[in-house]
Amino acid sequence: MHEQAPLAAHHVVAEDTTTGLNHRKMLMWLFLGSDCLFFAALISTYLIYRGQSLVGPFPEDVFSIPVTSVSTFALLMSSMSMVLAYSAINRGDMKAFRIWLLSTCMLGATFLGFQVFEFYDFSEHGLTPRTNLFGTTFFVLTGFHGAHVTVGVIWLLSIFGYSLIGGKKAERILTDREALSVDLAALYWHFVDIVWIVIFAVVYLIGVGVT
Amino acid sequence: MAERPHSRAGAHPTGFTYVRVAALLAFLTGVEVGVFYIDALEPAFLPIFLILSVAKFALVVMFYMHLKFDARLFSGVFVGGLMLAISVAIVLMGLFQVLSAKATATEGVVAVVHGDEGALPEAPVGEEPSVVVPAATESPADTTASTTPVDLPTPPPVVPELDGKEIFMTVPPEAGAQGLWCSTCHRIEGVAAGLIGPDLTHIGTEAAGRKPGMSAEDYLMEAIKSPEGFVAEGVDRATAGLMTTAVTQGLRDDQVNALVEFLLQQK
Repeated sequence: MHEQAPLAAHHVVAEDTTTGLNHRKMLMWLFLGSDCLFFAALISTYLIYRGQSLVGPFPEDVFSIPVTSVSTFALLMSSMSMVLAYSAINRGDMKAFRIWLLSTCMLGATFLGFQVFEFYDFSEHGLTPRTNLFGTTFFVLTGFHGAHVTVGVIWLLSIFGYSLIGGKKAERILTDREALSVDLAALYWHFVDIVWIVIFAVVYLIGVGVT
Repeated sequence: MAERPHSRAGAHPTGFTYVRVAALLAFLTGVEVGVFYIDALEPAFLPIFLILSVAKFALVVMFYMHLKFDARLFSGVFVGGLMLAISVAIVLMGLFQVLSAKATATEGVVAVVHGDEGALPEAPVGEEPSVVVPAATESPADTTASTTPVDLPTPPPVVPELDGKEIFMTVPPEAGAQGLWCSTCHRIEGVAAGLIGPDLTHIGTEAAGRKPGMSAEDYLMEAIKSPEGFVAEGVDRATAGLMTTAVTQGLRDDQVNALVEFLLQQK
């Protein structure tokens, strides 16, 4: 997949594929398109069972909008640092790339820390996945999102690690045409961010504010 | 390090653009949270939050995921999946609301009809059941009256002369949290088909032995008025915390009395 086609010099932009587009990138976009369906199913399940719980705690008993706003902000800013990392590697500025990439990982880990705190706090209030329909649908939805973020942090950390230790694989990852390997990880990362944008609005703000 | 072609790099936004987008994203999030605390805007929460989150979503996808500057096929693949996802979500939610309304109405009807088949001598035979599916009742003359169970009304209010069975089967408008009534969860053979809480088919006999020193009547009274107070042991589907005062607090005393009377007859 990585060997340069002999004609590559004449096709700087177009890939040597039937669509003229890179297959790995196409695969990533297809995956993200299908992951929309995955999250849509979980979000709509949450909405279908909204207000159907027989016993508390209910969303308004446990949600803390200020706390979740902070973690939402951290995740949004991680998207910015990710795109700046991508921009840096495209310029060949490895130092800036490493700084922004590590910032992204740390902001992502901050978000996860908030989520762990939130889950623990909710369980202190007596809300677990088996308490009521709210607990079941909420934990499954945000838990799967948290799992996506965790995978993203590990992915980005591994790229960061390769950029430090070097070697053949690092060379391959970091010198892809148009930094494709970094681009794919970034696309995944931004997707995780946009899913959270929807969850924050629908589950938290609309979930508590709209009766 | 091998050389990278920068063919399309020029089309991409600069770092400054990315920071401006981030500032806009942070600002929109701030607006969201700010609006959340303005009570006067509550009627408009739904459209406001939807529009703001769609705007943030679009900003990230267009600029950070650079779909705005990339091949259209990528946009097609992603937006196609997204639209399919949104459609499925809308259809699913529509379907469920309709279905759950239907299921509730039908369940009540089935139970009422069964009750009229003679399982209970005290069933008001002469009186029309509140909700009727003509095809299943004993009066064929009524079959033309209504043929669409889909449009069944929600269970009507209790009649002035209190009937415990009716209270058991239907929710009084002033009572019940979230439209729950006894038969939603409890089963009585030939009357109601609820499968969530304990079976009450023989509660008239069993109630006396549930709590030592307590009469069947007092026990039932307590079990209705403060369901959290006591969970009977060895009873199937008796789950602590499932039935709460919230379910029954809207019932008036005379309604509770009628219910107890009805339950005592379930031998």
